[in-house]
Amino acid sequence: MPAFLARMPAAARDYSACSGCSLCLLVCPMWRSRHDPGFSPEGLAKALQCGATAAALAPPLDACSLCGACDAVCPERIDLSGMIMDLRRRLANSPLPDVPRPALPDDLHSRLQQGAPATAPVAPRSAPVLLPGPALRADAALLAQVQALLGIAVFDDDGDDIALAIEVGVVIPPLRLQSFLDSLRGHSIVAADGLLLRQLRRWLAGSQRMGLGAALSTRAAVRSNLGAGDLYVIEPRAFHADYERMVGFYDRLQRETGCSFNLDLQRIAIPAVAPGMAQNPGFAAGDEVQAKWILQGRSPARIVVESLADRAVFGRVCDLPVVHVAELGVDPQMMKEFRHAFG
Amino acid sequence: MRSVDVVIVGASLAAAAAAKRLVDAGLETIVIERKELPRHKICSGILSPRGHRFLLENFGPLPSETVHQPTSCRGVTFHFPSMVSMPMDFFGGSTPHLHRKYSDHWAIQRSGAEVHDRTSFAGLEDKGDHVVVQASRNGEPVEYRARQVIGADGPSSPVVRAVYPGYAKQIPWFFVGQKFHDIIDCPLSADYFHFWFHPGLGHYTWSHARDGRQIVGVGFKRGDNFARKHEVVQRYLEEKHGVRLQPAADDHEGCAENFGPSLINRYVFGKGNVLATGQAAGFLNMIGEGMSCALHSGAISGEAVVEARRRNRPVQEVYRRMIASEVRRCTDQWNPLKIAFDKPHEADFPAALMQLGWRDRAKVLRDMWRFIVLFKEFNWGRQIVSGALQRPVIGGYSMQRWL
Amino acid sequence: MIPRVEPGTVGPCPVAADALQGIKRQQTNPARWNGAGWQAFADAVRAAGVELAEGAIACGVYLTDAGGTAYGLPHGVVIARSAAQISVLLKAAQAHRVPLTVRGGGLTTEGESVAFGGVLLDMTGMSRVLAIDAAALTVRTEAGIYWHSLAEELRRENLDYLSAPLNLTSSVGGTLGVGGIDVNSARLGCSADQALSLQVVTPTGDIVECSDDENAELFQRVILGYGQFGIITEATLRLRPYTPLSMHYYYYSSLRTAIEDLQMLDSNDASDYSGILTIMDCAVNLLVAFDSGEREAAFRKNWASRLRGFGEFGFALSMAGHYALRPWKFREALYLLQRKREVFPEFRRTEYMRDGKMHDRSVVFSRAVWKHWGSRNMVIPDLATPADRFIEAVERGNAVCRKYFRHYTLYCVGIRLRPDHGPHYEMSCIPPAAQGWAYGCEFEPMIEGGVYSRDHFQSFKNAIYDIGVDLGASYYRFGGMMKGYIRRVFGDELVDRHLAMKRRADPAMILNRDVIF
Repeated sequence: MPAFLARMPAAARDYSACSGCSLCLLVCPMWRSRHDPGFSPEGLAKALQCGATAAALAPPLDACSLCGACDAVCPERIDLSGMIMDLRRRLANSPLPDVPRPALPDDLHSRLQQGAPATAPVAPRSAPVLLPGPALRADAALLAQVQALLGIAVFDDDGDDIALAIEVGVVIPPLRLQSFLDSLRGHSIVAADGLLLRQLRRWLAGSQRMGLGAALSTRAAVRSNLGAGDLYVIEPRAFHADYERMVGFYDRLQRETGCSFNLDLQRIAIPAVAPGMAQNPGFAAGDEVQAKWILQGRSPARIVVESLADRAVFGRVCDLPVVHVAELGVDPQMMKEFRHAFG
Repeated sequence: MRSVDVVIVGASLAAAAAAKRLVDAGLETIVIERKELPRHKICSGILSPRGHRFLLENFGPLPSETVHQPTSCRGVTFHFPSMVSMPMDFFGGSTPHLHRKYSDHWAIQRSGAEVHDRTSFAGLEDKGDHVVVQASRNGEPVEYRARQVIGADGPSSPVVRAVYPGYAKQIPWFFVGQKFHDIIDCPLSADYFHFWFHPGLGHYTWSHARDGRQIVGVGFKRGDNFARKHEVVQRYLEEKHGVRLQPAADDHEGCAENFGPSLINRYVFGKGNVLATGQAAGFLNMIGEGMSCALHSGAISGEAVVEARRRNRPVQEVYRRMIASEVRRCTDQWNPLKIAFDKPHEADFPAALMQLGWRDRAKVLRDMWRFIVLFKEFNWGRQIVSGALQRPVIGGYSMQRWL
Repeated sequence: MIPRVEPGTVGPCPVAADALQGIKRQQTNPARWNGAGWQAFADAVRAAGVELAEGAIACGVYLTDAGGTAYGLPHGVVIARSAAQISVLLKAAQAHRVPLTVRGGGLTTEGESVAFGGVLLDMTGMSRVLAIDAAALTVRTEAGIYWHSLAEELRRENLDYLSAPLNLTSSVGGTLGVGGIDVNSARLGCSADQALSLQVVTPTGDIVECSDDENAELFQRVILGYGQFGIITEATLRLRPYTPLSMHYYYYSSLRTAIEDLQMLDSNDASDYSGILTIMDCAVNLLVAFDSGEREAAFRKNWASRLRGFGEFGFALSMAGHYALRPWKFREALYLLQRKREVFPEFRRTEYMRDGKMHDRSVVFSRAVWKHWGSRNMVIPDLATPADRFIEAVERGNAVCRKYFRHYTLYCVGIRLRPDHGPHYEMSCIPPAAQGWAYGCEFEPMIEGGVYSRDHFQSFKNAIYDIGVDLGASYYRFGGMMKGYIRRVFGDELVDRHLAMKRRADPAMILNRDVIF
């Protein structure tokens, strides 16, 4: 196709482009739980068009889980989660006395100031590295399985302070960010944190990046253990951060394995947990509405999750076996158990 | 200092239309008007059907005090020195004969805006994110702070002069005056607005009935003598058309008019947060009807303010992009190619022309040409031709020529 | 000196009887309600436990509708939560004479869901599916729900609604109130036809269940009633088993031929889905689709050969020939190519296709519509006519489009009429003279980032609507039944009869009062 026929890919647009189609409401977990347009990306954009300040929008800003579903459906290509993160930054940096703010971990600022301890590089440049994030780090056995499956080294500085800062709107000191990005440059990256992955896509344009779940599900050992009885729960942030590519990727996975997904009719990933910011820093239990909605009308034999938070919530709402996608690839016992079950 | 979203200068139809759009969108709007309302307004009052529809759709059916007698006008009759007359009915039927004193007051009240009358505009200062408007009420200075200011204050607009001090000197000015006569005998149909394409009478010569009297109006380049011009026309009407009138009553009136801008696409839309609209921007339909384009351009100025805020864009940029459709409609009426091959007016001139015999048709065209030659001194010819040629190429008129 | 204009009345005209020929003396872009009694009303509903939001930000979200040409700011907003809450609200509104405007998806184009002052009731707060009866093939749902949200729930049971607007964010209640068409409407009727029964809160605050058997008169007025006779809070709808679609596209260079073929297919029940989408005047797409292999096979055997359209390849060849002979029209050709490149893949995205069949058509269509036709101004005037006047209506409308916009799309579809639903259709989107089928065409300008004044859009729409007055047509889909046209189309006698009913049902004339009367 000659270049002059192709329209330039439009740059991401801001709130002012919102024309009020409400498509983002359909995929927004915030809206789903409240049915109040004020709690939706569209509501925020419209409020900004009417001159609202960040402080006036604090409740929806805190309630958003940054799942990124809205970005994928917006026909005007507005960077909606970018808009929300930006508003959170404004809110965090100009606190008003009468707007209650969620408490942040005490050490976040000091961690951001200090940065990670300088250590010898774990892997030669261009080798793939894993940014596991705190939850996976805490589960040593699973982390080992992930590493074995992917044949990958854990990167010492996995930027969990940066990921948290992005989420809660704390400004990242440029030095800290620079050293983090410099150390990553040249590596291909597998990141468990979808939000960090999304930002890395901007910060390290041209680098190879993948979400942990997608990386694991490329492994033959994993794929061969997925079957029609599996409900595979995609981690939404990583999925929506690279939506066009990921929707095709998982579609092929579905054709190959027959598993089903937590996708809605628009092929948007339904988050199993959608905690707002207030709960997030401590990863407290969110409500279970989302997970129940994923399961409604479905009867899978097993649930496969990409994210550890999802494993916890499905463990609570159903008594089906719930496994992490990494566990599919390596546990011979489980393989034996399920192979006959899935034919 | 009162702080509002928008200040509109002038309480005319353009102001009412702008105010309606702003108030609907929830913006706090103040209209300031020099005179006490309801105020007198010099105008023939013959609104075009498009303007009538706008009034109806946006302000509701007209109350009876907003129209003069006869309450309506069926169309326009052109008269030529060769004594050919061409009556043409408006598309869509008769059109109101507005009593501007009451119609404007009614519209501005229906708009829902807050009106400060007896408040004359004295100057403004655009501070980038807001404008400070200075005015005086009963001799006392008052100030307003507004995000935007809309100048809907007529042809010799003080707002435009505040923004572009040199503008008034750049365009030719006309004086248009009308005198009111009691009728002894008038064969001119009271259902029509009569217009003379006669270079000997003046640049703009008209007559129609109002409230039992006959208006005799003349327009000419500023500097000439109203009384003498009027006398010539009155004598002409008596000799050629048998119109016998009493001497004019002493309530004659006149005002300055700017014909040029819409003719040669030289509108002035303001600067920064200050918008000019209606006749202040230069909108005037052919045959001097300015009300319908004032209503529409006024509405667009209001829409542009609303849109610019919601879209976080500079208001001038939004206004100029939105006003292009009204510019097309208005300037098309003066565009010779459009007149020849399209129907830019609200009455069908080509059809009326074709109804004449070929001899009369030739006379009409000759007389029109002689009339046009009267305007030669303004050197508009080349600008009109270039405008007419660019119209089909770029689908409109160049925005580069606007101030 | 400003005379008060009672809602619904047509004022006297002091100008002349022949001024604005045919146009009724009614203000169609309403004045803002003056706010008299608002505070007492607000106190009363709050005291009754109704959450009422005020302020520029809460209300600003509702400033305009999808049409983007009418603007209005409510005094306050209530998000619907239950029929009981709405009943309280309506009783207070009736007592304090506060206008109440109901909004679902807000997809109206003439400001019907814009509140010009008063209270706005956002129905999307009532979005739960209450019960699905897979055996009886019915669903009971709250009426504020978006069709898409309903589809999400139904699909988990492998069910589908009969027909719904090709737009994910139109609401069930809003659609039942105005019509709604789908590419299967030529077989299954307009979307409002699938309603079996409703729970309605009347303008005076009574909660009433109604259907063709129970409170039939109310049911007939509320269905396709433009929100005048009550607020639909729950609806029972007919369902069908979900099936993916196999799609066929035929291309025409003549609109007339395509319409003739469309009508031929419809009257012979030759397809399950049919519709026309134009790209340009000389590039017209007839879409035909099937729910089952048998229907598809029967079509191939009996009807496919009678269609005069080309396949994609054949049409590309014929267009190539056309433009090779007319090189000065290269811009048109480029536009065609560009549209093909942008829009076609949207209908063939692999994640929606399985074994050559399209899944989730409404998602595919709606996403494409918003992406390629949507903008801040959904300016989509439409005409619905009896079958025999359809071609004329489309051709005249097409000429209007050409005058106002560089590029535009026409979307035509048949609407099967249910003979037993005659009373529902009175004074509605269904043209009174239609027998068997009505045909609808919407005229969609491609805004393409352009900025137009509202007057430009309004004059375009008026020019289309005027054709409807001329042809005895009606207006469908988004509820483009604007106040300025209803009397012109249906005549004073019918409108006054409905107005009298409205006055009885809603003495203070508070419910959606600026929509049609």
